[in-house]
Amino acid sequence: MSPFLEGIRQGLALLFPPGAEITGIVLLSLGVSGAATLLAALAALPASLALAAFDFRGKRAVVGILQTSLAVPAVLIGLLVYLLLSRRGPLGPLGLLYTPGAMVIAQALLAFPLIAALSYSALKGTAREAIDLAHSLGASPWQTALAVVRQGRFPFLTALITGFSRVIGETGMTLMVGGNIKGETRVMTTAISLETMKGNFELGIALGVVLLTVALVVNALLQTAQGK
Amino acid sequence: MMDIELRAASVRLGGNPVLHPLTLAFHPGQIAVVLGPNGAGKTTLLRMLALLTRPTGGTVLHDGQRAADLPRASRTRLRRRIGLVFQAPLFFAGTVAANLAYPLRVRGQALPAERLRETLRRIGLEGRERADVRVLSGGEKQRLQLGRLQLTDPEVCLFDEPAASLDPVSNRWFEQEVVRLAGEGRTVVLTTHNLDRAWTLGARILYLQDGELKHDGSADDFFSRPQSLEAALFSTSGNLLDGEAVPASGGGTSLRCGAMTIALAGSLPQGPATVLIRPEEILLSPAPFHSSARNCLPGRVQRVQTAGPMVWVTCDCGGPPLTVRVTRPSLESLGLAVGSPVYLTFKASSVHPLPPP
Repeated sequence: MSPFLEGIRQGLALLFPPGAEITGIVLLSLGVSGAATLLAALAALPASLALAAFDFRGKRAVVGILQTSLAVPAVLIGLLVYLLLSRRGPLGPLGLLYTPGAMVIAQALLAFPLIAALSYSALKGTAREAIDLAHSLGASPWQTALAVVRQGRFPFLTALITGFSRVIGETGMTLMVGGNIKGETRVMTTAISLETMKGNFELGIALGVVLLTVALVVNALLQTAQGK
Repeated sequence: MMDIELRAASVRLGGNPVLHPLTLAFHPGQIAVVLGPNGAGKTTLLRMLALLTRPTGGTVLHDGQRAADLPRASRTRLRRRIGLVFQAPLFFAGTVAANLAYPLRVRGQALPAERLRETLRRIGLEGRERADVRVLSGGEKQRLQLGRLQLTDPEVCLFDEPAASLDPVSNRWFEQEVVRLAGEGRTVVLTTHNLDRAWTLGARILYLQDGELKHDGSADDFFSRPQSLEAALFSTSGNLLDGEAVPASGGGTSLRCGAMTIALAGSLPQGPATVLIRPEEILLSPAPFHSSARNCLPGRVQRVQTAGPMVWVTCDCGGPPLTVRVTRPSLESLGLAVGSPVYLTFKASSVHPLPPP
């Protein structure tokens, strides 16, 4: 049997049943990326709604900055978070560096512009109409905001999933601020990277299969939610 | 029931004036028809009345109150007394029933099944409560908008181009509904490009152009005695004649227009002038027609154009061609054909001079 097929066989064997190490890595990945996505979404939803619904001075600049920040490499965000959290950095006393908390912060910073920009471009076509409609039908300001969110929930969900997919597959930045500490900050991508360099392809393959499965499941959920 | 008053209310969007200061009032039980070319500001005016667009200058008073001065809750209550039908039908994603229920839901009321069924029957959407609004046709969407408006029993009913996508039957039904709404003492304002509708509905015509109110008066005044050349061009398929105003031999003013001399009722300053003669105010006869009408021009039939039960007869009387509108039977009884000699008779008071630009 070729080493490639042998690797796949052994990798799959590691998953059925999964060992404690793999389970821990997978759960930490989902937890860190899920929390980061949620955190980013909490800020991105009101931000994109405000951008779509209102005209204000400097709006074009804000949109420009948002779109530019899509192009910021993850590794730069990693550097920034590292400098902020390192022992002599401004947030050093919090002792967050090389903890899951640091990874959540970095991933949330990476996901925010992505989620905000995607939902802004989806909402800007519908938000004003939804506001006019709700107002003309007698909705109060709160009811109007709710109606706009309801109208935009699918594009927003899509943006959310895109953000989650982006951060759960992120490696370099997560490694920089998390440190890939076994049992503490080792997530799927950093584990695959390390094990591959060590020549332990089975674990890498096993985690790769899990990552692909997560992507599939998440997208299937999204399509169900959209009723397609 | 609600009065709406505009006091020098104006709207600028992005630095451009969309509506110049307007001062006018809308009253309960009255239908006001807003006419005007594309981009005249009709929709902006309606949006301002619906509290969707704030005036950037002047004041809009709903029931004597400025909406901007009211606390939020009162402003929402004021909005709930106003209904608007959008030009491009607007709905929330969802079913017909959910869209009809929404305006009641925000008011903390339910839409009982019986009332839903009755509404659907009235707007011709029976059994469609579960349908997704996206699958409705343009006309069905317009009717659904009207049904939605009526459910909230608004004191002010605003319609933006409501009939653009309605078939003739729905159109007549819609007209009756509008008349009924006004008859119930509601304030009705609608914009349209349909001049026939404006004429049948409009006790009052507002003509907007480039954001300025050029006419505010009865439909008869607007169509027979327009206040400006633009309004005349917009409102009429009538005869617009350019000529030279000269003193008439027996006093008063005549218009010299090619080889034609037309008597006017009033006096006009000497010089270039434009007049309007409505095609249905000219009498056509094969021989001179003796009457009190001061204008009787000999001519020749140039063209005969049939439009349903009516016929447009274009005649050459020595100046620019004059168009006359007659019924088909009367044309047949006159025995006129292209080339026939003919006499055009009309009163001096049917010649309406347009104010100089």
